[in-house]
Amino acid sequence: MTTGRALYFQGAQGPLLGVLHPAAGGRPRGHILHLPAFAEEANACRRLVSQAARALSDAGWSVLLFDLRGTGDSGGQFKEATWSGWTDDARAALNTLLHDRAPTNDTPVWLWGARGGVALALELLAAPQSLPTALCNLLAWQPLWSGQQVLQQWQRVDAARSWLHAPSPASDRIPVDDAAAITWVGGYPLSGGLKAGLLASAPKPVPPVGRLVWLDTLPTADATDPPLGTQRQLARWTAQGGPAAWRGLAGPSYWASVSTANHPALITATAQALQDTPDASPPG
Amino acid sequence: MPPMKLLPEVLTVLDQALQLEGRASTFDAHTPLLGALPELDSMTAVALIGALEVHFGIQFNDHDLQATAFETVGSLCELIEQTLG
Repeated sequence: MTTGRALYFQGAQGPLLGVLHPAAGGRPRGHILHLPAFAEEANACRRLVSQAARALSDAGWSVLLFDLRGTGDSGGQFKEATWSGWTDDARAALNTLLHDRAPTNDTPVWLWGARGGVALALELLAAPQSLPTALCNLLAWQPLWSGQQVLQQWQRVDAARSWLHAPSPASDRIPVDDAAAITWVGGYPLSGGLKAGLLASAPKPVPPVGRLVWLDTLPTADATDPPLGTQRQLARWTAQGGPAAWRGLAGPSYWASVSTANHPALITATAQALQDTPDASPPG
Repeated sequence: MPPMKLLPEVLTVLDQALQLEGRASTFDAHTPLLGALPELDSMTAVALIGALEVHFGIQFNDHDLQATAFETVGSLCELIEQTLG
């Protein structure tokens, strides 16, 4: 089994920690950049993401994991984070992974987002200064598709906290109209800039990119027929981008709580989906 | 009397979303949730909400997501029933 190598690289506003899992066997079959979930969800996902990164590098992919500014072992504080800064960090990470070379047909590039990391991936793909994105594919784990959806999740955490304990003081709740204030959500200080960026990040048209592999984890049984809302999102993708495939895998809510629960079906499905060539049939 | 029609499905989703390892099979409509179930914290509550939305193909109105809806298994079933229309 391959092991990861820690490296620091320069992000938009300071050093970022990455862990590079080099492709087993030398020349990689392609490159995968992981865009992490945010805040507490990033911690909850960390173990499974590392397991999947090792499995993918064993399968011949070069995989880069990294911590966004103000999270994990990267520089800065969470309260300084902004949406545009995180998008710039993601671009710096992609450049690091690709050694500043553009993607080619020979070595496909996958952006692998978990939860809010998918919204960040779309932001990166939509940014005009990004690398040529037509050859980029998207692997989405339990995706949130826009910054607005990320913010809604955080607001729900905030609301749920008030159900369990004394209600938060008004000043501690997320004000929707005060872009300058720091607010605390689930123990994380949310900067005015991050909040404003999330609010401005509406669901966007899908950029003309490659394939989408969307892997949801469901509480009950495996599924191959996507729910209605998922079908609409898949249709939007295929109208603009490349082929899209969805699978629902029964398993634990790995993004919601730090636990030692394993989810081998998700790791296997991820490796299988990416193993297909771009023209191959979608998984499922 | 809370609606019982959805109970089995709700218990299945509850068990998986909160990783109760089968304990939910002993629950009924009167089983208390908020404050009684240590696995139900603010993070897992949101995961449970999301799992219910996916499972039942619904979108909760955030105004309906109040503590009272999560007091018991039965009140949660009522919220889903109401959202399903």
